[in-house]
Amino acid sequence: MDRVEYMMKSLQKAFYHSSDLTVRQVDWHEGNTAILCFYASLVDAKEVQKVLDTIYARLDTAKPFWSETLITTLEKFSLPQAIERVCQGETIVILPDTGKMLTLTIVNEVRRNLEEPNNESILRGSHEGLIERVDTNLALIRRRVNNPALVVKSFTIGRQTKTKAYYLYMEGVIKPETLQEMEKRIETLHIDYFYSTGQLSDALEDSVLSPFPQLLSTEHPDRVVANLVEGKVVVMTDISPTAFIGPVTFFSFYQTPDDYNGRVVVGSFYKIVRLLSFITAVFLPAFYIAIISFHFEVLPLELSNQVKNDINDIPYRPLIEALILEIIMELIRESSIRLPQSVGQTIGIVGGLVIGDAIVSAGLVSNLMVIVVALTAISSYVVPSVELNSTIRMIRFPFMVLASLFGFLGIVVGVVILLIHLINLTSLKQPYFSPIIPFQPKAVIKIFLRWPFFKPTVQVTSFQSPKDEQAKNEDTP
Amino acid sequence: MNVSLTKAQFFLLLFIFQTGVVYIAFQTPLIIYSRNSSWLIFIVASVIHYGLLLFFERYHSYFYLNVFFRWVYQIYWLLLTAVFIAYMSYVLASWVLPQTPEWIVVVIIVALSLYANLSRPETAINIGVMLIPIIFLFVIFLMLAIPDLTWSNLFPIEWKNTKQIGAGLIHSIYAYFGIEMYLIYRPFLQKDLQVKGKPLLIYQLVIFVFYFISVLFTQMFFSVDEISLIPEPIMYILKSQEVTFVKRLDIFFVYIWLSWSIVTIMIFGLSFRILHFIKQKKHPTRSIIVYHILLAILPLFVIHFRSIEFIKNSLHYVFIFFTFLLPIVIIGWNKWRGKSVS
Amino acid sequence: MYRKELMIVMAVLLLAGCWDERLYKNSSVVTLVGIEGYVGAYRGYYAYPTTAAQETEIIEAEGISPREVRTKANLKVEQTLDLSELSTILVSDQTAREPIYDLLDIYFRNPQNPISIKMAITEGDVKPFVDLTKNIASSAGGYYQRFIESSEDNTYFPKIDLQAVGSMLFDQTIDIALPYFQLSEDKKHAVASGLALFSGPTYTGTVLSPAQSLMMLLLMNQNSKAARMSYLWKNDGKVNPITVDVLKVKRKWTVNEELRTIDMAYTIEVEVEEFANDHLYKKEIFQDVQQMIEEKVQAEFEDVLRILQNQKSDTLGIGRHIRAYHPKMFKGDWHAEFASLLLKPKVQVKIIRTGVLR
Repeated sequence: MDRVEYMMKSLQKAFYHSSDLTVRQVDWHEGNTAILCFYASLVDAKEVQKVLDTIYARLDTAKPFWSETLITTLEKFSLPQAIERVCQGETIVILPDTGKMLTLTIVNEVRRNLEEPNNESILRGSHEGLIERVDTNLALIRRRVNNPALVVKSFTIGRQTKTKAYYLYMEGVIKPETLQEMEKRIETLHIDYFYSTGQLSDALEDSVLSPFPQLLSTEHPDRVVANLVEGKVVVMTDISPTAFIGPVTFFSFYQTPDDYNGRVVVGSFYKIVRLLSFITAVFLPAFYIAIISFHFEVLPLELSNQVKNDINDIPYRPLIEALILEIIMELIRESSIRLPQSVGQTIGIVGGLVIGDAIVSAGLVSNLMVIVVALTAISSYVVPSVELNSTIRMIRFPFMVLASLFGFLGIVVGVVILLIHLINLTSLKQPYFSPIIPFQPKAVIKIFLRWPFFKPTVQVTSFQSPKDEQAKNEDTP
Repeated sequence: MNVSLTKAQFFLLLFIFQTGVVYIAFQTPLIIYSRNSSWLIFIVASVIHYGLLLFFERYHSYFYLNVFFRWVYQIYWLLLTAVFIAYMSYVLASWVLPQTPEWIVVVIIVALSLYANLSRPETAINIGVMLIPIIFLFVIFLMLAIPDLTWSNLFPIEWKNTKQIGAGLIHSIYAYFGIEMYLIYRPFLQKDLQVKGKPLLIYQLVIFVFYFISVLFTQMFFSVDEISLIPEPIMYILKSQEVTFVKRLDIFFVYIWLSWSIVTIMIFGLSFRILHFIKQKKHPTRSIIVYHILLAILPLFVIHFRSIEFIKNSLHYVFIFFTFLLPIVIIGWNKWRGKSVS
Repeated sequence: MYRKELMIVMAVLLLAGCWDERLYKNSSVVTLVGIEGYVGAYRGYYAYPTTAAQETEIIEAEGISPREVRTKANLKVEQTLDLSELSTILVSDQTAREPIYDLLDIYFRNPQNPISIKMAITEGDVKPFVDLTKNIASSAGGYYQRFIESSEDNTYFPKIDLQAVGSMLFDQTIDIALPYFQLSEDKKHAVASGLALFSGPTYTGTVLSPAQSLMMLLLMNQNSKAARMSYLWKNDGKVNPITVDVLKVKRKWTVNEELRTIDMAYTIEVEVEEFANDHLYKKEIFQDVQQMIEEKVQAEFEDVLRILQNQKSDTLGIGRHIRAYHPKMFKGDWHAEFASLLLKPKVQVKIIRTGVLR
């Protein structure tokens, strides 16, 4: 068996005789043979043929750099190197007599169009969305920041899958400790098979068990850029359109590009509405349960008569009543996500109108409870971020249980625990609940109002208060 | 302990624990003892308090606590916090939760404080921020009582009876207790910040106006003889107010007051930590847990009417000793020795 | 490790919790309470809506104290009587002859009872007044509450609630005047018929008529949204009715400590609401009308003050004024002192608007 055939065998073996692997013997310059090796599924064969033709033509002219073009290069052959190249979608031509290999980077472009992300639709502003290809994504971002200070660093995730990933930051804006922390976490990633972005966010987050997301995920390139200039790190992978942004604060989940694309006053108004929706989404059912089972004396007389008529014949305790409706609500939500869009609307009507109406006439729950749960559901969907929105819908359940145990006392206990948790929480070792902690009166106002000029707010890096000159003439609380 | 405070944080901290537990109740003893002239006496008490603040600001560097005094203050705070928890539990039981066993409420309060104090010190420092809007609500809803006020209750001013004035001044201390914390937290203020002058005056004015409104309202809302029957006058004023959407404001405000008081308890816990961990200790969490276990047990002995009354009638002497006399003595002694906090 | 302990604590709480739970559906929400009788033998009436038939149910009970009456009444109801939505208390005039705080103590002491509610005195027994609410669709207490509030707006009743009553009972320097209800002739309606005067903690037995009540409220400077006075104006043998609405009252009390007199100067600004004779732009008519009203009001003021002094009922709060600004003149037994004062009202009426006609 000659050398070429032996090499072909060992290549086949290294790729476990995969059917989409092409290993072929071709004629090369001056009667030599070469081995062509690529994954047919990853490579655009026509293009490869064209490039190879060019190379053949050059070979005869005996130019010294015959092999070097934008997409081809010549390097020393080694089997592991070759395997890696092929796995990344490159085509290699092994020249056994010189012990070198020619690599051609012609990847078959499997990509979808740039579409507006469904889960983050906005009214005004850029409608481009990130896609599952990192080079396209980087192009989208580079196009917005024409500055070398935008640094892109690459790394691979998954010791077996070797997925490409990048982290981006603005040099000069980012605080070194932020960058160090992110780099440290990326270094200590221990994932063998990487296939979903959830694995990445779990590994990068500070406390995985907290219900609150500590990394902002977005598919909007303009949102990515807005966060980059605030001094944050962005992590993107080649397999998902989601970009993770950190460190973030609780309140950044409540911002949307719409606030800054719209008018100042209007933007501020909707920002306040959105923040208030947090209160209704989390506390309204608990509040209602506490009132009708502990403190109904707070209701004024006229209202009290209505409530009394409504709830008098309900067989269940208020907590059970609320749980029934909340679970129906979540069921409708889940089913409408899983079904195709055309059927989804039908489910909405069946769930909302038919069940809602029937369950009241059947006397299982009261009209008021339906109103309360519906209001809660609407308010919870106001949050622009998908992660926080599911968190909010989940944390109202403990509040409901506490309210049914102790009434308002339970709610107070829940609120204090929630606050302490939020204050303790960190995102990349930086305070999550800033500017409440450390307390900065002027920054607190900015949470509620969209400031007329767009000056990036600086991420607070430490739990201790910054020593800025502004603090000097601060008024007392 | 490595903490640094801005002015806003520092004064917020002082404000929260000075007003915390006592805000709904300190008016009663004041008005019982100084009757129609209590508002004037309260102004005098506030001026004295401001003077004390100025004194503390000037000489705070001499407030060096040796091991003995550290323990004295730690024990004093422990007992004081226990008494406060007992009082909170008593108020809750009499206003809203008559059936719930007291120990449950005590355990809940202590558990919340424990959670806060096992976290970073910044947690207890900053959690008071969330109270600012609801404290504003407190005052706004008090304003609803304005049409029911009797202005002539403010007169006549009797300014001759020195015994009455003295008693009134002594009982005003319920409002201004705990100012010794100024000395405890003052060293943690960021080095280059100026507190002297305007910031201190603004703080004194804010806390004075906040208290003074409550004193005026109580005095004008109730007749002088009625007040002796009403231990929590602010709650009572809120109870008699009705707004279109809520019939009983007091129920909400009992809970607002409760969360406010819980934060006060947390800050006391923080002060304990600061004194206890000046020197590095081996088991930091263990001491905090022991402190809280004691807090959960001690109040259970005093949650009934007689002991609460006894404590209410004698606590001001304790306050005078620990808030005014002892700090002044310590400062004076250290100044004489020339020893100061580095 | 922590989680296991947390689970145990949660389980204990879930098993044992809800000590203070009062399910709204298990409570009968009483809106109207009527009390009559005397210490040792009280009789109480509790009106609450039954949800099924939308009717008002009335429970009657007896007992030695107001609280015991309620305890006994609970024996007759399938749910728990809950007074946290109470809106009116009716007290029989006989019962009010005794110190009235005895009845009210339970409402001040219990945190669940509201104190921003109305209180009224009835002529004779309370029972017919409570019974007539049976046919009223809305809540029984709400009926009396609205009744009293609308009369407050027309300046027949002072704006006081239970808390104010309690506060004044503890204050020696002011007396209360509570709404007084009579039955209409067909016994189907309650009629607001003035104010029952109290002297200290007890009812004096004297009732001011609605017109006198309005005068008293003007003396107290408590005119509300509408305070209408109607008089007949005679001129050239013609009789014309005139109605005026009080817009604003200014009062100034001047106390002479030695002579023990109080000059009570009132300036009342009114708007003409009815005057068929018209032609108020003519100076002589205007002057004459204004003069006539002034004299009438002056006479009625004197009348009301005389009644108040005779009954030793200082509803105006003169005592508060004296104690605050003239403490030397103030004596311990204020009621006797009040009766012996010389009160000199002086009224000046100004017509400042005449509607849209001249």
